[in-house]
Formats: sequence, structure tokens, C-alpha cells
Amino acid sequence: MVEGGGLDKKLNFVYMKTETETKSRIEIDREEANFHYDVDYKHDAGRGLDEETIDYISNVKKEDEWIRKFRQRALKIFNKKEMPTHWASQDLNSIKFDEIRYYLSAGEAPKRSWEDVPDEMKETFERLGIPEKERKFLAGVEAQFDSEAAYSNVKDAVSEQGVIFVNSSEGLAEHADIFRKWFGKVIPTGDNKFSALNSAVFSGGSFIYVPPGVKVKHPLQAYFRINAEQFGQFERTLIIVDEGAELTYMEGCTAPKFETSTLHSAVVELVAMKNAKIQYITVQNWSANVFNLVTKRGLAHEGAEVRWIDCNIGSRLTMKYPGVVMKGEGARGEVVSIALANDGQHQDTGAKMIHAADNTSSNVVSKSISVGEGRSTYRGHVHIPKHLKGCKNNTECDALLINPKSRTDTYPAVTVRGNQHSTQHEASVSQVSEEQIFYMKQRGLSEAEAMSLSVNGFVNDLVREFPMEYSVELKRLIDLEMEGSVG
Amino acid sequence: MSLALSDSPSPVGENSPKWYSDSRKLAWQKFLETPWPSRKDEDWRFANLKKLSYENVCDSEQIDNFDYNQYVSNSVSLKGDNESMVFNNDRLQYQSNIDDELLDKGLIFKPLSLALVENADLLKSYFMKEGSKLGSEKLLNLHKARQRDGYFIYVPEGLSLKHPLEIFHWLSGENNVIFPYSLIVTGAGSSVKVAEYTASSDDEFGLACGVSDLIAEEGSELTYVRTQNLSEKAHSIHISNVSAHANSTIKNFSLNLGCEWLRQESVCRLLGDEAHSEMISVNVPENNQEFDMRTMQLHEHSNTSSDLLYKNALYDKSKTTFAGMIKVEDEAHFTDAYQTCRNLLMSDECEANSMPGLEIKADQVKCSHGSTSNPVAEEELFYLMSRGIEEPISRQLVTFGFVKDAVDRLNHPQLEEVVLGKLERRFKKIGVR
Repeated sequence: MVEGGGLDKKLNFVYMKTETETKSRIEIDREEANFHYDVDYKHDAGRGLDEETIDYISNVKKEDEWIRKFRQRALKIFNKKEMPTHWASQDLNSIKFDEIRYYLSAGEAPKRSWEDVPDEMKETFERLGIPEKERKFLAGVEAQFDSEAAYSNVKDAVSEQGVIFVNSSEGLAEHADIFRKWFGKVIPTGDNKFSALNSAVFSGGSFIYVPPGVKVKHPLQAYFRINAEQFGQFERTLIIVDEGAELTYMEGCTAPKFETSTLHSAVVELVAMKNAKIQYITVQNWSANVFNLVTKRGLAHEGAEVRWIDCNIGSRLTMKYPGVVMKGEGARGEVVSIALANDGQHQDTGAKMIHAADNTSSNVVSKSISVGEGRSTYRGHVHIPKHLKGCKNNTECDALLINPKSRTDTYPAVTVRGNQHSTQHEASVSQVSEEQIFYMKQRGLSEAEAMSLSVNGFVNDLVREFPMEYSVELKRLIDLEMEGSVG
Repeated sequence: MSLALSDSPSPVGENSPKWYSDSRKLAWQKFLETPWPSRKDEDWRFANLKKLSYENVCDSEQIDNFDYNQYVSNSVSLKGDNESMVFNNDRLQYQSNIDDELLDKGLIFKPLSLALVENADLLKSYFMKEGSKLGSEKLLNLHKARQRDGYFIYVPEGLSLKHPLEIFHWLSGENNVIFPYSLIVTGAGSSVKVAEYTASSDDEFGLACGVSDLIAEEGSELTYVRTQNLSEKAHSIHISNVSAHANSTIKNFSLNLGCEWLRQESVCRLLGDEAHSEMISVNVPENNQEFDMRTMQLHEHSNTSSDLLYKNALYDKSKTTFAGMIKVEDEAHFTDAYQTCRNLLMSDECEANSMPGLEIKADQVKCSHGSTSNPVAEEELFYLMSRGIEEPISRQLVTFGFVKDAVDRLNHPQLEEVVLGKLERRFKKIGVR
């Protein structure tokens, strides 16, 4: 549609007006499509997804031709791929792709007043101690709050060290020499249906490059940067940490994020060059109507380390299996995850560890808590191919069930070829023991408090992996979720 | 994946009851309607579906003058006065006399074909009640439609059999298929131990497609030991369904040595208070052997327990797949379920896939699974070698100890001896490496 035919068709249209009614109707349809070219970019791309939506996004972003082609190709793959419901939740079938807005420009974000925000959410803000100004932003009442300054401070501080910290559009436009090489390489477009969807319609997200030897002292927070724009439904993140450099990145926040858009599908690619270290921390607390279908994978070169630290509390259905491909000798991969599933929620999370070089090691520790009628699932995949030696994997998953209707599943798959490797997988399911509760109750705690304390104890060793301010909020959040689950 | 068994199954004997011939016809219809397993079936993940192709196979034929005596005496078995049956190509060759006292008490130990005539009603109430829960609906129906013989054991209420019953199945001739069926029922408070050996009489390609139904009624004990030593070219498909009622204990043990490719599906259902099930398996594949094993521990009632231990020692380019599922249904509170799969990697080219799974829908449960894949531990080798034992022998000793640990769970000296005897032969054949 982008090619020069547009004007000809318009002229043609003028001519055709004199033709029969039927013919002109057809042309009017075409004209409507052509109309997209001249729009004021404050509009959105409408509902539904087709080639024109993609062109629209590409035009708005003034993208290079290769990106447009990348998107168009991804759309074809997305349409071709089947829903993975032969193994995943049937709930995926309730996503109505035709009703989703795939791109909203800044001016067209849905408006909402503070009165529209559900009371329980206000209560949660109160309990978590979220600052007044942030509450309005998180509830979607205000499009932005004053994080612009914070973001530019961080950006200035790290750019002195040569760190590039930009959004996806800027990354691909201004730093193509750095980012294009790895873009879509760690997670190919066709990896799964939702990575294809993201590749077709991505916007927002962070592109980060850390030059060799630079150790970024403070964690970079997407919080600042994303607030400065809009939370993206289809974020695209690519982080490249060069030789010997180190970076910690954090996204999300413990506060619930009130959302009207129901599908979130991000792609996050990490590249750790020789001896580099990346730590990627996520706290997800989408509201309970959101499908959160995320593909995350890191590539670890020789001696490099990629750690995913992941916490899932919100959403209706989360499907997220962070992976590490250990491509160079001595590379390490780790996934540490906490999931909490309450009524109406399904936390389907896990890890994928692909060993592709000698002496690589991976570690997965996953803890889940199912409350009420919540369901948590662990899916794991560990692959150690032939002709390698000295590969190690350790997987532990523990599940805690709180109520009679709570549900938990574990579906790991471990493939080991050759006799020079060692893997172990362990999983257990249990509940808070009555003795524990009894002990605490007779020391004056209420049953709910005792339960909360036990649950916090269950995840305590993992919570410590999170930065301090997160772990404090996590603890409060668990208290909150446990309320009303006993008695 | 055409199957040259495409001709309708041969009709059954005139004396068989009508329900039986009807069920065969229905099963054949279902077999034809059911699609072959595909790559997308989760139950066939990691499976080598190319193996499921049987162009030239046909129902096995009677072999005249089959010298079963020679085969039996060459095989490792109980070698006692055990009640026994010998089949070749699903045809009864021999049955020992059964103690009159046991017959008087109501013990049934008969070939299926005879039981269908003499105990049709009793048989009917237990016969193939379970479908396939692990992906082999089509193969189960194939078996049901084409089975020729097998055995029926019914231990009446309160009777405890001292000695294990023994059944031999031989498969003879190229491209032949046997469909052995085993039905063992222990009445309330009774107990029995059954050893069943399946082996080839030659080194041709053939297929054994067997089904075992084990039912333990209230307070009874049932131990079932199944060993498989078919030829190196053969295929084996085996589906076992266990139902454990209140206060019963079922042990389902399998030893797999032969076969180029095998698929083994074992389901146990725990149906009453204090029902207990153990599933134990020892597998020692070598060369290009592929063993695909799926299990399910299905807790449908509260206060039940189950334990599973699968041990695989993998040599050469062999490949094993273990997929185990512990399922705890709604209301099955106070479940205790454990599942362990251990792979000992003996070569640089072997492949072990493990998929231990849990699906828990009730609280107040204790469930755990563990799966490991490791080579022989250096410390263990070092310990033996520092005592003057050469490395290859040390390695074999450690391996033998590794599998023996699972055999010990049988907790029956005679049966353990048989299984260990078969394993000794196996390790002798593999040799010290």
C-alpha cells in the first residue's frame, strides 16, 4: 500500500465517481484505506490487525523499510501459527484479536477519572504506601507524572559511561549499527505465536547497550523511562552488554496496574558478551483481566551470566518462561521466580535452559503459591545436547497450596545426552502445616497473620534476591493477598 | 503409517460369549476411527513416532513342535513347583496342574480363551474397563480387537497364595504380532504374586502389544512382576491399568531389557481410603534401543498413597523417555505421592529425557517428584578402585548396585532373585566397559 499507487488511485476515484454505484462503493472502501496516509498521527490504528495496521504503525514511527518488512513478515507468521492450546490453557481462545487496539498514539490514551478506579485498588495503593501522585498515574487517571526529570537524570548519568538507554524506535533509528545485529536474533520472529505478534506490532520498551568493561552501578529502571511515555502493550526490549560489562535492569512494579487493554505481549532479548553479567528483574502485577504472554530469552557468551528474577502476582493468565541459551564455554544461566495465583488467575510460568557449550551451568528455583481457586503452573525445559561435557542443571520447584480448591501443576522436561553431565530436578507440593499455624496462634497471632507469616517464610529466600524496596512491597502484597484466604 | 493388520480381526471361538465378540467389533471400529498419535500430542512428546509404522506385520501363527521345555529351562525363572502357563504366539503350550485345594477354594488361573467359556460373567465384570489415559487409545483398541489369548487370575476373598504364579510368553517368527492380555483380580483380603516373562524365541522383528489389568479389591495385596526380553529388533507396546481399592496394596514392577523400541504406559488409580500403589521399573537399554515410558498416579480418593521409582542405566546410543504424572483430583485430600526417576548415563552418546509432572487440585497433600541424570559418581569409583578393583569392574559394580536398589523394593527374595538373575545375564552380555 505504500508504493506510489496511492495518488493514481485517488485520481481514479474521482473518475470512477461517475461510474455505477456498485463500483464506486468498492472504490470508497479503498479510499478509506488510503486515507490512513494523510492522517494526523494523533489517531490510533483502530481495532483489529491486518497489513494496514502494520503500515500505520510503521508510518507513525517513520521507520526504515527493513523494519516495515520485518513487521509485515511477522504478521504473516502470526496468522499462520496455531494457538498453542494443545499444551497451554484453553483460556487463550478467549482472546479476541479483532477487538484489540494494537497501537495508540500518546494523545489517544483512554481517559478515566479517579472516581472510576475500583475501591479495592485504591485500598491496595493505600496499603502499599504508594505516593499520592503515583497512584493517579498507576490507576490510569493521569497519562504521565513527573518522571521525565528522573529519567533524564538517569540517562545523563549512564551516558557518561557510554551507555545507550533509549526506546525501541529510537534504538533502531539512531543506533541501528549496534542494535540491528541482535534484533530478533535471540528470539526469532517465529519462535511462537506471540513473539510473532510482538514482532509485528511492537512499540515501546527499552534498548540498552553497555560498552565493554562498564559496570553500571545502579539498576536501570524501566519504571522511569516507560512512565515518560506510555506503558506499552507490546513492548520490545533488547539489552546488549558488551565484554566484561555488568548491568541490572528492573521492570514493572508491585503496585497493581489498572488496565483496560486485555492483551500484553512483550519480547525481551538479552545479549551478554564474553564475561558480561546481566540481571533482569521483573515484578508483574497487572489487573486480573489481562492476558500477559511474554517471551524472554538471554544469550550468554563465554563466561557470561544471565539471571532472570521474576515475580508474577497479577494478570488473568500469565505465560512466561524466561530462557537462557548458554552459547559460550563456562556460561551460566539462572531463573529465580515467585508466582502467586489467586481466584480467577492462572500463573503459567517456568524456565528454559539451553546448554550449547561445554562446562555451562544453569539453575532454576521456582516457588508458587495458589490461593483460593488460583492455579499456578511450572513448565520447564532443560536441554543438554551431545558432544558437550561438564554441563550442569539444577531445578527446584516448590508449590504451596492454601485452600481446598487451589491448584498447582508441574511439567518439566529434561533432555540429557552423553555421560559427562549432571542434572537434577526436584519438585514438591505442600501446604502450611497445622503445627506451624498452631505455634504462631498460641503466641497471639491471628490465623491470617500466621498464614501470612508462613507464606512469607516460604518465599523469603527468593524475595531477598529482589532489591530492597521491592522486597518490602512484596511482603506487604503477600499479606494483602493472604487476607480472607483463611477462616 | 499403514498397518498390514488392516484385515478385520479373525472371529472368535464359537463358545465365546456374545458380549466379547461385540466388544471386539466395537474396538476394531474405534481403532479405525482413531487417528495415529501425532507430534502435537503431549503424550507423545519426545517420542519417536516413525517407529509406529507396521507395514508388513500380521497376526502371529501357530508354530508346530515349539519346544517350550527347552526355552523354559534356559530362561531365568522361579524354578520351583509354581503354578505356571506357557504361551507361544498367544497359544497355550502348557499349563501346570493346580493344587486341588486352591481350586476348591475358588482360585481361577486359566487361559483367557477358556475363562471366556467357563467364567464369562465373572470375567465380564472386570474385563478391560479402563481406557487409555496416556495417549494410546488407538493401540489399546487394536489390542482389544485382535487379542487371541492371555490369562485370567481370580483370587477369591481371603485366599493368600504362598507361591508366585508364573506365565511365559514367547514371540516367534518374523513380522509376527502377539496381543497377550493379563487380568488379575484379588478379592477382598486376598493376596497373590504374579511373575510374567515376555521374550522372543528368535532374533527376528516382531511386535508384542499387550495389556494388563490389575484390580485389587478391599484389603488385598497384589504384586505383579513383568519382565520383557524380546529380540533386539522387536517392538513392544504395553499398557497396564491398576485399580487399588480401599486398604489394598499393589506393586507393579517391570524390567525391560530387549526391544529396539518400546512404549510402556502404566496408570494406577487409587480409589479408596488407605489404598497404596507402588510402581517400580528397571531398564537397561544398550545399542540403539529406545524406551518410551509414561506413568500416571491418579489419586481419586482421599487418604491414599503412591510411590514410583524408575531406574534407567543407559549404554551406547540408547534413549529413554520418562514422563510421569501425579494427578490429585478434587477432594483427594491427604494424598501422599512420590515419584522418582533416575538415569545413570553410561556412554557419551546416550540420551535421557525426563518429564516428571504434577497436577494437584486439592490441598492437604504431600507430593513430590525428583529426577536426576548423572554419570557414575567419581567418588564411588575412586572408593572401589582404591580397594584394588579395576575401573571397568568398579563401574559395573556401581551400576549393578544402582539398579538393585529398585529390585529390593519387591521385598520378596524369590522374585528378587529372578529379576537379579536376568540383570546379571544382561550385564554379562554388555560386558565390562
